[in-house]
Amino acid sequence: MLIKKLNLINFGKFSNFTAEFAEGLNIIVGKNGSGKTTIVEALAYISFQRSFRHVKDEDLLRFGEKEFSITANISNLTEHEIKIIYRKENDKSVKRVYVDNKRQKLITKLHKEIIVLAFHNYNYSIIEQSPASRRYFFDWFFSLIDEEYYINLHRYKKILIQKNKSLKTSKDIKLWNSQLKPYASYINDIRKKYINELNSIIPDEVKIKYTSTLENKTFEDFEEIELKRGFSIVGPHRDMFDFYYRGKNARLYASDGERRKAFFELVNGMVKLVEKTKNVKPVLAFDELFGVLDKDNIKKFIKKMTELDLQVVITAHSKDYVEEFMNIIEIS
Amino acid sequence: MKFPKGFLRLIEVLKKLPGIGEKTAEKSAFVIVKNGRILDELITALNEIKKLKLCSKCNTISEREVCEVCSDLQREKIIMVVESPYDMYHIEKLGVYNGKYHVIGGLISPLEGIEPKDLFIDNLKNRILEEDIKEVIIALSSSIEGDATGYYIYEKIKDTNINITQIARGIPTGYEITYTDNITLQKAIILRQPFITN
Repeated sequence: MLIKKLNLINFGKFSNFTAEFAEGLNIIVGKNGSGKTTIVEALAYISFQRSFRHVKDEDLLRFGEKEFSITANISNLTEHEIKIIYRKENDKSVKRVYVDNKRQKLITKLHKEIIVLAFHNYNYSIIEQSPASRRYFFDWFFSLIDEEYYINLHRYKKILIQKNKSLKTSKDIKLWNSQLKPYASYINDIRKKYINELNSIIPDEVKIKYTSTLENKTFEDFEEIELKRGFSIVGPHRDMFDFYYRGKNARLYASDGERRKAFFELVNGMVKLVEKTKNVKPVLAFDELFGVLDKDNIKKFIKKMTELDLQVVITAHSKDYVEEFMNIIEIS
Repeated sequence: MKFPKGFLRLIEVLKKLPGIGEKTAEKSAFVIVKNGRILDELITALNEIKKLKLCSKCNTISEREVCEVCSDLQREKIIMVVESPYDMYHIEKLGVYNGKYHVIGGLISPLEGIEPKDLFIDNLKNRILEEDIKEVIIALSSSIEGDATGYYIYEKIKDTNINITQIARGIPTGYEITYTDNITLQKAIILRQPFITN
């Protein structure tokens, strides 16, 4: 898959911005605050229809504006124009997606056409971040390749809000656990499935370990303690994802270099998993990646990316690392 | 220029009604003030509504102690559990159901502060025994709160050993399979039924 052109209106810092992308490596060069991250955000938005950094839609609006649009010309088997419009009206908001000027009834159906794997600053250190941020990361990725996972996760979270409120008021814990159960077991199964697939793709020295808080246990086992504490302590929203490097927990025992290596193996695994499950080549987008890599590693990374034979978009402060074969997009 | 206080209050009250925003409330308020006949009709209608009460059996709105449906001896010994009198009216209008109703008056939602004790659920079991009910049909919204409330009711009455059913979920009439979301489609396949020939 290829993104050929991107137009942003009232999105982030742009009032009206257009960029054209080429096959292979694209590099967006601009100073701090010039809107590099906004472009990566927009590329990710086309595929996820919400922010990949958990920014609220209304906070993506250009200051003082009420409506933004993202239009992308993509080329898959054929050419398509995808347009997403978000409008804020008083306390309501509307989001509409059009493919070739036809309104899409189900927004999630778009997932079949276009997958953008976008990474930002925070993701590069995902291995040493908090368990919650690793959970966010994998939930984002699994939602991107599996709309059903997203729907189940969404329902799970909505029921969880009711349960947590109930733990503080009416204490109907059995009722809400009964409602959570089918979604929790679905989420557990899918996480296990995809983590297994990722592990089978990436080299043996890097392993991802998924630990469910409901392994060999049930919600009932925790009812007493949850009632006492007044909030829920068990379920997919408390599960753990950990990285292992050569058999040891990478968060504690791996060097910076090893962690970075593990991260890029993960990216590679994600690309392969997208190709396998969606039968489409994803677009990769990296925001401010060169900040975390030294010169040597940047060279290695660029070589690796060209080998993947994908469309890749990278943002950078300066033209230092620009090479002849790259398509340069300069913004000011 | 400032509007008189009473007029502003009318707008505020109208805005509390579902589907009425600022503009509609203002427009309606002007019409009420301008048109004396509508004002009188409203006053009469509102006074009559004040006399309405909830049926002592099924909790729907009624002019008498026991509503029309509950007093009808021809009704089958089935109870359909619905959220509101409005839902009951909706189903009654269809003319396909000839049983009784039980209006619970809302759905369990801790977020909105609605607990089981705020709903008319407790007297359902008594009704099942007293009125010799053979089946209870749960007809609540297919939302998180609707599902949870249905489950709560099921747990409360399952030991009566009567037939407990719920209304079918699946593809709406006239809808295309392609556009149906996966969860609905899955339910429709699992809950498939014998082919209907008429």
